[in-house]
Amino acid sequence: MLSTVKSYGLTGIDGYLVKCEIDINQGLPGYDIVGLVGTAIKESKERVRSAIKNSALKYPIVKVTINLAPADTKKEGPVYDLPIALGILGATEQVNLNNLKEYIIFGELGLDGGVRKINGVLPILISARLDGYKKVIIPKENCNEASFIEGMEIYGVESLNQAVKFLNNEEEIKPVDHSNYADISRKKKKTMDFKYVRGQSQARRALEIAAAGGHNVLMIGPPGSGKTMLAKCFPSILPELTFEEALEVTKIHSIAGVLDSKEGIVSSRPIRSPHHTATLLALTGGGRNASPGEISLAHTGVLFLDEMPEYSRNTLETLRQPLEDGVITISRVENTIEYPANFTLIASMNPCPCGHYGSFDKECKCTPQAIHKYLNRLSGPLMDRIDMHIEVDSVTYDELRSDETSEASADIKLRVDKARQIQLDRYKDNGIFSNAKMNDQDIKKYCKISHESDKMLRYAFEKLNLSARGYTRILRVARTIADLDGVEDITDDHIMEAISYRSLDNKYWS
Amino acid sequence: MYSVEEKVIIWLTTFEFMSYKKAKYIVDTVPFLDDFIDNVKNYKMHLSTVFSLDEINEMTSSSNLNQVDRLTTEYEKLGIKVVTIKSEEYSKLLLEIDSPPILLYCKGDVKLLNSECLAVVGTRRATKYGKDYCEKFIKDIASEDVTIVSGLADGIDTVAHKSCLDVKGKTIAVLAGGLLNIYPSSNIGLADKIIENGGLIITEYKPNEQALTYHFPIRNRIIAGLSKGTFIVEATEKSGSMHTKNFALEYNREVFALPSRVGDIYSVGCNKIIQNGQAKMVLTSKDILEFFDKQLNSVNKKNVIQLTCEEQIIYDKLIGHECHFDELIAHTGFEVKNLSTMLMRLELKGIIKKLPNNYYKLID
Repeated sequence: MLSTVKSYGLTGIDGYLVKCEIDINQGLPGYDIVGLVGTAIKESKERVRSAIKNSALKYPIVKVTINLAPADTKKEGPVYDLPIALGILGATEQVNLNNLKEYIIFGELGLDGGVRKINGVLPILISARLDGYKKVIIPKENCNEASFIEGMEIYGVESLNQAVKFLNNEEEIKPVDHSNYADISRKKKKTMDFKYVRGQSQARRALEIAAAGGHNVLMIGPPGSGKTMLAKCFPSILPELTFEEALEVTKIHSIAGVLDSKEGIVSSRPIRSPHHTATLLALTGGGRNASPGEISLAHTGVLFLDEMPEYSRNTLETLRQPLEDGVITISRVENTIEYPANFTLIASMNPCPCGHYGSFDKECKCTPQAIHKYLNRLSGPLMDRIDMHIEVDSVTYDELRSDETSEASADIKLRVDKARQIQLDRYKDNGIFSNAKMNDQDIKKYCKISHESDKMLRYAFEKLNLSARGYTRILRVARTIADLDGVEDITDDHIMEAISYRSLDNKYWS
Repeated sequence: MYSVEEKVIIWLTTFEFMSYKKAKYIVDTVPFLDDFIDNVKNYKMHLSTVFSLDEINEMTSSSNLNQVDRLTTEYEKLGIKVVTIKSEEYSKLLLEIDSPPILLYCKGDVKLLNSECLAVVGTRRATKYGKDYCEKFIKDIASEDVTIVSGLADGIDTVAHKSCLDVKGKTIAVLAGGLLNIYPSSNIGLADKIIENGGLIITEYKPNEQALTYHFPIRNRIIAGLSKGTFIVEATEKSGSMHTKNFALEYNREVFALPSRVGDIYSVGCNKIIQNGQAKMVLTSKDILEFFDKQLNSVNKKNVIQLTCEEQIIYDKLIGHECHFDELIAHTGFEVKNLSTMLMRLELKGIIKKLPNNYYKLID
């Protein structure tokens, strides 16, 4: 007898319908599974058999043939244990076939018949909803994540037995309650606060501008100057994630299996700080399954690269395209996948290998060649994509001891939010959300400066020996500074301040 | 364009066995170099004291100047001019030393060889102090038509060349390798700039030769020999700069040194030679200019710059010592964004300078 169970698979962040067809034949007992399946699915044989047996159900001593359609798409992961087991039970009339047809089902089985959580529930549900399906059975542990989907009946099951009883109308399960995103996002989050950052007034101001305009930042400073702390504080002044953004990030995190199952959704902007030994694939994503990498996990949030020159040059260069386009396309033999990767890059580095170049109280022991080589690890095109450079200097003992606290993140965030709103209104027809993403045309349109300002900017370029490609960077940052001030026109003052975040261009890279 | 005499000297250097001493022997002892090439045989007896028989035979067998012509046209294409010890352009001062180079490969304005030169030498790992004062003094000196001679190395050499170019002064770089192998490679751009600005790059090594370790001390004799005075900015006790100083003293030239902090390894050399009287202590650029019989004309050309009220406050705070950005905030009470803007304006006006680690200071 034949039974069909609907389930879902994933390519990238999009789901597609997978039909599990289970056929039961008389013949030598066996278990054949076809449909371009991965090892984890092949191994389902043992899990399914033990789970059925240990749930006090009957495993048929016959030939079982399973086909996962579409047969030409590679399928991975233990997602199909539950549908296969239910399909076998359906084919042997232990489960009501009519009910079985109604549901989308996925879940991993344990040998004891328990249902375990899987990765990627949110993107699957979103796709299923788009395809018009209403009823879903998912592992109980994934319920938190699923609760943000509106307009679906979602049932969480703990065990195979429970699923069988539910499908046979022997047990009631309450559909998952819909949780409100606003409640979760309003919850106090544990992030570092700028309140506790001593001194560093210039760096704080620069990060405020970066947050307001979505600009990438490079921090240069000696070891122990607090670059990492500043970066950790940075998310606290970023605007809140909107629900749409949150869903998008959660999808990625869900696929990568890094989602916090308690909260179920990524409600604050992610900050990812991969170690500098990270490989190219770890950063961009890929591997056999083309899984998302750090830059996609940092989508809508912050990618923090500490000690940037320590990363291999190859790895850094791959960041160029995503920094420009906000997406990363991963091509593998079996499929080509596009993951969103729209992040703000915060990078930090020492001015030289020993870290004391230019310091007053400590001697730099690096040879000029060593310094040159160190700085040259960051290529021009990559530097070109970083709008602001700031110098972070070491904090003195007195500053550390002082009791006065600085302005709190919440206050800074108010200004950032205001500036972001101005940008959202301005760019509502342009398909971009922040000043940092302006292209050349947008810059011409929105960054008009007076003749005098232009003259002054030209003078500054000559005097400070700035590289020509810094020009548009300065205009973008000046636009953001003007937005923070809430004014329409970019004035001399805004440009001046913007230039001051480029001055490292001439000092370290000339 | 090269005289026969010059060509013969170039011809001499084409032999692989021709060491400096051997070439010098011929140049010094052969009375008429013009016809030496045709009469090598006649000089056989004379040459046999220094040269082996094989070497003399080799010279006789290749005694024509065609290959020299080929070589010189090739050099010309590369913009290289050869100045031999017998050339008119050859530096008169350099002739005074006991081992002047037989020929110099030059790129740039060879007239500079006979201008008034000051050699500037110092450590490759210059401190901020050394760089600052080197820049300040060289700018003054170079703008009074004194040619600055240095070695195109990192550190003080680079600062000397650069500050000279900043005031459009003339500068000579003496290399320890060939003109096509500029070392360090990070200064290739600087070398081009020197030539563009009417400076000169010279070396006694063939264009393709590498800069080898032992070349550097030998090269230093040219730096010292070209110049009336040698200015040592920062040097450890045992260093190339001290070699240059020894050469300068040997050639009876003046030595100047910049005094520096006691206990700093990069100042030991300078402070010591000041202490033992080998060098004259330099406190202002006047100390050197006086030696060249020049006066500093360009001082007090200061433009009157209009400052706004707020800028004046910042200016007053910076008088006498450098200040950190946060200090300025604390003292003036300005907002961060306004202070950033004002400091940038002051920097553009050429009144202040930003130092590493967010310190600011007045430009004096």
